[in-house]
Amino acid sequence: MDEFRIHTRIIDPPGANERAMLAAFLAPLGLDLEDDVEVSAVVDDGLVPIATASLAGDVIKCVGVLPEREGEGAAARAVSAIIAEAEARGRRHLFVYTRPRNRSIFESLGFVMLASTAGARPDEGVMLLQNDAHAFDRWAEAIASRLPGARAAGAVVVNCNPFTLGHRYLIERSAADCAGNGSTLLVLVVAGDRSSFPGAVREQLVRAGTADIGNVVVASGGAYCVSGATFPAYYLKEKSQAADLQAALDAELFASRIAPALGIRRRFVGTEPYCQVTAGYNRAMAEVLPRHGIELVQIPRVESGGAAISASAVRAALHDGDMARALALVPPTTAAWLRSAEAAPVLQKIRTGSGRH
Amino acid sequence: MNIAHEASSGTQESGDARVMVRPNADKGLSVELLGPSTARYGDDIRAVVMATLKSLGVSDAVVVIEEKGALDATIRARLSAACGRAADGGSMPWEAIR
Amino acid sequence: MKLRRSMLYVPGNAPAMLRDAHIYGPDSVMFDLEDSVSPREKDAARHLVFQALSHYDYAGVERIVRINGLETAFGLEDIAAVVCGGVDAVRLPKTDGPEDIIAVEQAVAAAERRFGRPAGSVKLVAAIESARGILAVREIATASPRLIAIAIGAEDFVTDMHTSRSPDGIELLAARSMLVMAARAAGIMAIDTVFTAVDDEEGFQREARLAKQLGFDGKSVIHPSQIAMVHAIYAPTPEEVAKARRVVAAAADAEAKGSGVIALDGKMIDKPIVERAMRVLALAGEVDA
Repeated sequence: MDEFRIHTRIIDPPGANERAMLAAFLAPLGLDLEDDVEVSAVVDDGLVPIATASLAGDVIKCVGVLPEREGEGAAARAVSAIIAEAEARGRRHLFVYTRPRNRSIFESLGFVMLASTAGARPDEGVMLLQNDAHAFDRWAEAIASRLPGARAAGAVVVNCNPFTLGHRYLIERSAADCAGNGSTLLVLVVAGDRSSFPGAVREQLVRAGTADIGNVVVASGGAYCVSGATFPAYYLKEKSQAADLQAALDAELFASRIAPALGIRRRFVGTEPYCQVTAGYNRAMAEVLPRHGIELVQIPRVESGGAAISASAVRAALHDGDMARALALVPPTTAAWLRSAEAAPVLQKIRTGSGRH
Repeated sequence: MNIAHEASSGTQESGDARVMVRPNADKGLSVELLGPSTARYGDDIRAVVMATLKSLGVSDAVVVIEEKGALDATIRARLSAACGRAADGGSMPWEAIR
Repeated sequence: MKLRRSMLYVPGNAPAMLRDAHIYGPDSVMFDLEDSVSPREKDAARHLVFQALSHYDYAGVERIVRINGLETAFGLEDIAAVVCGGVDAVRLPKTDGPEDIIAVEQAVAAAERRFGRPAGSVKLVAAIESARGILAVREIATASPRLIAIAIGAEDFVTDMHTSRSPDGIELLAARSMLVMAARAAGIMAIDTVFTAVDDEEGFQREARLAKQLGFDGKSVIHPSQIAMVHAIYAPTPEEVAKARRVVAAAADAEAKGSGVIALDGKMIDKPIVERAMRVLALAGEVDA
């Protein structure tokens, strides 16, 4: 890399023209400029852009370099600039969502691989890396220390937005299955506040709604389960090619890292009649988990009045102001919260909002 | 100089060093060195780091340095910049950190 | 006579470049804390430049630092750091009037006192990048005894003039000429602007020859490949060198004889001719620069 020619530009935030420019640079590389990008770095050689990297939340992504300019350190330059931008925003624990071919660039910058999945074609596939080599182990150990024998034979991953009778049923059945083997069911609640019900509330309602089940341990999925920052499709609920790849990566992360760390041999999911993305996610798991010796157990959703009980049905009822309909779908613990003063701002947001989450 | 919060400076590109500085709850100075030069030049790098911290008047801090063949001057610069970013005010004692 | 045919720009936030820049043989290196450094990294670049100035041996190459203007949050601390580090000259960007020079001079003098450097040891270079600055160039050029050169920053200047840069530079002609005139009247140097198209050698040489013809003492460069080109353009021809040697010899001769009249080939040689001959020999490297 001729250092005298190289310029690095920070675009904060990228406007319409700049997004178009970045998208045009990334397209021939088979990459999109994702909508949630907040700041981008572009490295040019005085004539043309040769590498770029972007930041969305605590995730570095949309990383690309011209094939004929690989190996010069331009991608590393762009990524270093983005790391500085992230740190200036107080984001120190960073993730990378990128093509596996970029692995050595990121490893040389101090990142370690978490999970990787191959795509349909040779140059596809995605990899997840993080810059804190011990963060995953710390998260897993904190959970393991709460599990009898430091292991849970079974796990279920839920968002619970909010915790419904459907979730209760799934967890009851899964816990009974585990109890039959004398073991614990780990309930991982997806972290974050992208859903209508804040993460802390969702987790609280799960704990309250399962407190009476003896072999259930509830924990936060943290940054790893579902890795929400790298799996925006999970929240967008929009079917896309990217969603399939992200689902595969997430399933791989669960199967190759989380399950072994916690002794998990079975994962329980509810069948998904409505949401395409969740159905796609279940399909990815059905493919990936058995490869790692983990059994995927699908439990049919419990119905009420001919329809599967779902959190979206609860939110729809709340949006319509039909508290009675909502309360009919949730256990007493959730019902009590919905009627509490604490719930008022959340309910207000749901009533006035147009989002489906 | 009082290290009040976590801050960092530099990159892990070749010839550079990434330096992270944060408060040390246990008091005193804790320095961790990582990188290809550490095996051979670890003692020298550590001496540069300790001298710079002393010149800055930093007595309590956790310092992590990930170097990629950075020279002393670069390590001093990255460490001073990180400390400046981590401190709660105060001026930079240029004459002391030459 | 100090040669300033080439001033090589070096971004201040690049550790390896700061260490090696002088090896390409420029007359001056210019470490930049201003436009080539993002706001996020200005403090880090200041530290890198400070340590480079303090510890690296630049083999006698003049070290200049382009600071951020005093109206920014960075300028004052830039001055403290580089004066303490041992900089040879401070370059102010976007000089619009003599008051800008005075303000920097005061800050530099205060830093010299604070860090124990001899008063007046740090020189100044002023970059003029606006119409207002060009119109005030006479006052700027004489605003401080520390000022050793004035330079034109063409990119910002043409923007200010509501035009753009062209290959023959007609839009810069008046500004360039005024700058050189003011430099001559003040007895200081004039430095031409950067040429950014690194691969356009022909274009660079055309512009450098124009600058030389207008009377510029040198040119800012952004790539090592431009250094040799500009030095070649400023290099006197063998004939010019031979003639200059004879002029200087004649002057020495007259002085030895205690005569106030210098004669060569039957003609009288005036002082400006002798000075020009000295410059030629300096450019040829035959007199210590």
